[in-house]
Amino acid sequence: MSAAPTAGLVRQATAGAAVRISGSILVIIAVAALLGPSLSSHDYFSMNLAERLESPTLDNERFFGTDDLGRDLFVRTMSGTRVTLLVAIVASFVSLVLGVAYGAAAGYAGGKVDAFMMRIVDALYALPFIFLVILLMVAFERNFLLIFVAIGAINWLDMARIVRGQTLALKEREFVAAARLIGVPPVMVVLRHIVPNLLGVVVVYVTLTIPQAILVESFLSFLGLGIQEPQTSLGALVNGGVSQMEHAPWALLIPAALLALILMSFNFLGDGLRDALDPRLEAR
Amino acid sequence: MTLLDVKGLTISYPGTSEPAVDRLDFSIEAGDSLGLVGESGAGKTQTALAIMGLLTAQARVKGQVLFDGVTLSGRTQNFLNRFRARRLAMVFQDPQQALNPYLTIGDQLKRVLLEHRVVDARAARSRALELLRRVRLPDAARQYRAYPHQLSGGMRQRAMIALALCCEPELLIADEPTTALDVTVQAQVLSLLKDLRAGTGIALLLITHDLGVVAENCERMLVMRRGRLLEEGSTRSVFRAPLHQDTRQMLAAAVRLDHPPPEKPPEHLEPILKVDRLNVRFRDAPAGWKRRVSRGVVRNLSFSLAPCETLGIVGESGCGKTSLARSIVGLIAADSGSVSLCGERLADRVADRSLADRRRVQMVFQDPVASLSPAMKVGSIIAEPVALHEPLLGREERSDHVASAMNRAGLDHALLERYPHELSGGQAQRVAISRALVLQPKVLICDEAVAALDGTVRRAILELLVTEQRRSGLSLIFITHDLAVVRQISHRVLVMYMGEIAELADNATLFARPRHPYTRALLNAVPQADPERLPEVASDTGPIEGDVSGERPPGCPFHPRCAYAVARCREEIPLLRRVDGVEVACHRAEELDLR
Repeated sequence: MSAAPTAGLVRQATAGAAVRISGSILVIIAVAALLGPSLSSHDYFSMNLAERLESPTLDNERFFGTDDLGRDLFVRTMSGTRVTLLVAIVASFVSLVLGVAYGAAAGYAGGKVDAFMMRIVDALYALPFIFLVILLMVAFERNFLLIFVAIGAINWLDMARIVRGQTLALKEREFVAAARLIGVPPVMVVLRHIVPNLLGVVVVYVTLTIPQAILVESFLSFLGLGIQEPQTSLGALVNGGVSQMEHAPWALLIPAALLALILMSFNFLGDGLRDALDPRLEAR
Repeated sequence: MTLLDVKGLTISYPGTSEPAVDRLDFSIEAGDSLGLVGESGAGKTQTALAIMGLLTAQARVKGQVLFDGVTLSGRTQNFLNRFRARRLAMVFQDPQQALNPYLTIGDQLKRVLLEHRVVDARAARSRALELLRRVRLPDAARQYRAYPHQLSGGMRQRAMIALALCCEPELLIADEPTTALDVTVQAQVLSLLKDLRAGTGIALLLITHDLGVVAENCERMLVMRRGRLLEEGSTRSVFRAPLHQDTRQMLAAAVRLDHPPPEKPPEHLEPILKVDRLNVRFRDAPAGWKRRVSRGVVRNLSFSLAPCETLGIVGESGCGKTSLARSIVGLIAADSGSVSLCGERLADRVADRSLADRRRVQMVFQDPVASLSPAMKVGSIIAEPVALHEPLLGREERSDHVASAMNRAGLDHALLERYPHELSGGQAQRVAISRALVLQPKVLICDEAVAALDGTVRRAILELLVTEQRRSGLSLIFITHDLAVVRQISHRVLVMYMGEIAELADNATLFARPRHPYTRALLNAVPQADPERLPEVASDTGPIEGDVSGERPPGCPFHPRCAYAVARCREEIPLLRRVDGVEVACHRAEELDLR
C-alpha cells in the first residue's frame, strides 16, 4: 500500500517527460504552421517556372527548395501542415462529440435501447468506410467540409464503443445510484455524474485518434481525393514529392518527415497521458 | 526457544515524512500465538511483508529480523527461499488474489510440494488431498480439481491455509485472514487455525484490526498505531489494564454484544414504512440454449418501521439484505409486493417516484469513496440535492443548508473544496451521510455503512446517526453483517436467511433469547473482545458449517446447516409466526431453548 505512491511518482515522471517533449514538438510545429507562411516573402500558390525544382538553400528564403512548378516548398509545407492539423483536430472533435453522446446515451439507457444502438454501430463498422469516403469524394465536389465529416464519421464509432463500455461500468457505481436516489433526472446523471468521470479515458483516446485522422486525410490526399490544388496538405505534398523523387528528393522527404514527426508526437502524447492518468483513475 | 526475533525494524519510503514502521521490537516463541492489532495504516501488513522479505524495492528497511537465530533481513531472494514456505509461511487477506486463477487447487498444492521436495511426484496427489482434508475442506476430492473461482470465500481461505501448511512450517503469518469473510465462516476458519495449532504446535502471528479475533485466538498481543508499538503483553493483561490512552480508546470502540441496547423509541401506532410481501427475483443472463433461470433473492418479506425507530437487518452475504434495501429505495424493481411510506404506496422504480417521495427515503452505501462522484467537489456533492429539491433558493441560502448539514455531520468547512479521493474513509462517509440528510428524509437506509471503517471511526459514525435520529425523528434501517453494531444501535432486529425472515425480535430479546437456530449460530460466531469470557458452554456443536451458496433446499432453507433439524424441517417450509412476541420461522421455536 505504501509502495503505490513511489511507483506512481516514477511512472509519472517518465510519462511527464514523454508528454512534455512530444507536446512541445507539436506546439512548435503548430506555431510554425500558423506563422511561417506569413513571415516568408513567398506564397503557397505562385508559380515561378524559372526556379523549378531548386534544392533547399538559405538564399532567397528557399529553406525547403521548390517543386516542379517553382512554388516555394517551405510555405507550401507549412500551410499543408496547417490544413492537416486542422482536418485532424476538427475530425477528432466531431468524433468526440458524436461518440461520447452516443456511447454515454446507449450505455446509460442499457437493455434493449443499448443493444439496438450498438447494433447500428456494428452495422456501420461493417461498411468499407474508406471506399465509401472515396465514393463520396468522387460523387460530390471535393471540399474541406466533406473531408472533416467523412473522417469524423469513421472515428466516432470507436469512441462510442469505448465510452459505452466505460458508462456501463460507471453506472453501476454507487455515486450514480445515490444521484438517482436524490432525484437527479437521467440526462443530468449522464452529464454531471458520468461524462466528467469519463474524461480521462476520452482525452487519451482523442490524442490517439488525431494521428488516425491525419493518416486517413494523407491517404485520401495521396490518392488525389483529398485537398484540392492549389491548397495542399502533407499527404498531397508527399504525393507530389513521389513523382519528383529522383531529381528532387527533398520534395518528398521533408513533408514525409514532418508527417512522421507529427504522428509520432501525437502517439507519444497519447501514451504519456494514458500512463499519467491511469493510476490516478484507479486511486480515485 | 525464540523462533522469530524482530529488532528495531524500521520501514520507510522515499517521499514520505513518517516511516511506515518505526523501531519495532518483538519476538515470538516457538508454538506461541501473537496477535498484532491496529487500525488501518498502523504498519501491520508492512511488518509481515518485511519478515517474509516481500516488500517492494522502494522500501528502505533498517533493523534486524532473526528467524531461529538466522538473520533474514537484507538477504537475497535465493537465501530467503530456503526459509519461506518451508519454515515460515503466510496467509493473505484476500484468497481470491493470492491463489493462481489458472491452476486447480490440487495443482497449486502439488507445485509447492514438488518445488520443496516434500514428497515425490507419485505421492504428491495423496499428500495434497490429505492437506485439503486437514483444513476440513468439504468434499476434498472434488475441490482438488476445482479452480479458485469455483470455491466460496471461506473454502478459498482454507485452500490458502492448506498451501501454507505444505511444508509443515514452524511459523504461520496470517494477515487479516478472515476480514473478507462472513462472521460464521470467520468462526469456522478461526477454529480451524486453533485446532491446527493444537495439533502441530505451529506458531502464529495473527494480524487483524478486530480485537475480538485477538481476544479469542492469541495468548499475547501487540498494539500498533502509525507504525509505532503502543503496547505489548499477554492478551488478558492488555484487555484488563491497557497502559496507553490510544489502546484504551481502541478497546472502548470495540462494540461488544453485551453493550446495553438503545432506549426504546416512543410508541407510535402508525408505521412510517411498510414493506408488504416483497419479492425480488434475479434472472440469469441467457446463456446459449440454456433456459433463463430466475432465483428469488427476497421472498415474501413483510415488515414495518415505526417513526424514530432503528431496524437492524443481519444475515450472511448472499442472504438478500442488500437486494431488499435496493428494492425499498427503488434501485431494483420488486417483482411483486409493495413498499408504502406513511400509508401511500411507493412506485417500484425510483425513476417513477416523485421528487417528494424520493426525498423521504434516502440511502447510504457501503463503500464511502465509491458513493461520491470522483469528479465533484465535496461542496457541490452536498449542494446538488438542495439545488434539485429547492430550486427557488438563492445561492446564499443554499450554502447555508450545505453548511448546516456539514456541521451536523461533523465535517470541517475546509473540506468544501476537496475531491473525494482526498478524503479519509470516515470523512467520505460523513459527506455521503450529509448528502442524504440535507434532504431531511423520513427513512434512511444504511447498507453496511460502517463496514469499511476502522473501530474508532465506526463508533463516531454510529453516534452521528443516533444523534441525528434524536434530533430529527429519522427512522433508520441498518443493514450489516456485524451483530455488535446491531446490538449497539437498533431497536429491533430482523435476521434474514436466503431471502426470508428467520427471526424478527426486539434487540434485548433477540440477544438474550434467540428463537431461531440460525440466530444462535450467528451470535456464537461473533468473536468477543473479552479474553476473560468463558468459552461457550453450548458450543458442543462448534461453529455451523457451510455457507449460503447453491440451491435452496426443500423444506426449511436452513435445515442442512442446522444442528436441531428434524425430519419435519426437511420436508415442510416453516411459516413465520409469533412466539412470545417474537416473529420466527422455525418449526421447533417453542421447544428449543437456545439461550
